[in-house]
Amino acid sequence: MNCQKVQNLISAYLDGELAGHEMLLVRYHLSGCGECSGEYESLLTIRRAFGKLRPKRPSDDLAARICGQLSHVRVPVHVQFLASLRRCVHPFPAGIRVGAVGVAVFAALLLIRGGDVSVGPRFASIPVSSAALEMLVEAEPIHIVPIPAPDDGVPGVTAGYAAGPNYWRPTSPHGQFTYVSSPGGLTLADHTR
Amino acid sequence: MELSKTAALAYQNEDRKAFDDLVHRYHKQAYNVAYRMTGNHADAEDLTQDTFLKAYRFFANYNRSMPFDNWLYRIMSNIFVDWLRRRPKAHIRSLDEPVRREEGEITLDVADAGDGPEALALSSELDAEMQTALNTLPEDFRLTVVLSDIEGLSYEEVSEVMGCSIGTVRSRLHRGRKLLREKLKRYFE
Repeated sequence: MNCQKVQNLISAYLDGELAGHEMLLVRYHLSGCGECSGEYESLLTIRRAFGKLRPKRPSDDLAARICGQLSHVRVPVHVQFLASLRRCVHPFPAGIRVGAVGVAVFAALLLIRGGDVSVGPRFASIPVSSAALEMLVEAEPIHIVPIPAPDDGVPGVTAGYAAGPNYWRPTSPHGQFTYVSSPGGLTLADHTR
Repeated sequence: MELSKTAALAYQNEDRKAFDDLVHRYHKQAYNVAYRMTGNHADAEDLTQDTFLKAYRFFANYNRSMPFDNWLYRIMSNIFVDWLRRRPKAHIRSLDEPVRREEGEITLDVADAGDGPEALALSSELDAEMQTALNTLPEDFRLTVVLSDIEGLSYEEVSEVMGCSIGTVRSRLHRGRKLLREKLKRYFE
């Protein structure tokens, strides 16, 4: 890994936000490069200095002033409606909640449109609270240098994604690899299918 | 209909009480972020108030799985961006600009580098210089530095607040720190 690439990764490295393989490569580079380790120290100083800034304090009556203004806030009708729906369906599992919200919105549209069953675009235009939906989080894909194949003959992979602070998951269906540093370089520590 | 009105009122009262508690719990933290974003007390209080009012307006949409302060910061950053679009750019005093006083122009005093840069961070003079340097950053870089280095959010949390990828957070934070280092090099070298 050359100095330019390492210096672009230094902030993420000092924040502990690099995947295991990249972290090890940066650490190895810093141990032998004075210029890059100097860059690391200076950015770490900046981060620490801003982390030590004393919190600014507001006026003593700010909270009271804010609460006093809340009575004048107009909550949109559709937000009130969805809040009521959420409270009605909250005790039930997510799938039933989604179904219940959908049925309720459909029923509301029927009432609004006087029984017209042509829902389509109008149904789609009603915002549905994300609390009623499951959210999927996908790790961000990264590309890494090729790694020698493990002894069991499974081919090495050249792409994967960060699945945790010290391991990454290959995009090929060959299992999950964990690598650690050793005197000989990177060593396969764990391989599970 | 009367029952639904009563129920709606009960829900509103319950929401209102819960939100009042949240205001008291989070207003100082929100103000600190607002101050670091705006650079001055008056704008920070206005931004904090506007943020909580908007948060209350859409409190029913708040996803309880997300930390409340992160949701609040997302609202605050959107309001702040709107402010910048609508307001003329305020003059920001640079570190090198002389302070104009009645007896004539003088240069900005700098804090003495007694015990090292981290100890200096405790001094109010350096605090002011660091805030001035922060004010010179583009707002995206500034918000990223504030959320990450001052508030301690992870890259993933910052990306959720700012609505951008983790890669973008990484880039903005790195470039923001380098700009700050350049502005503050006389204090930290």
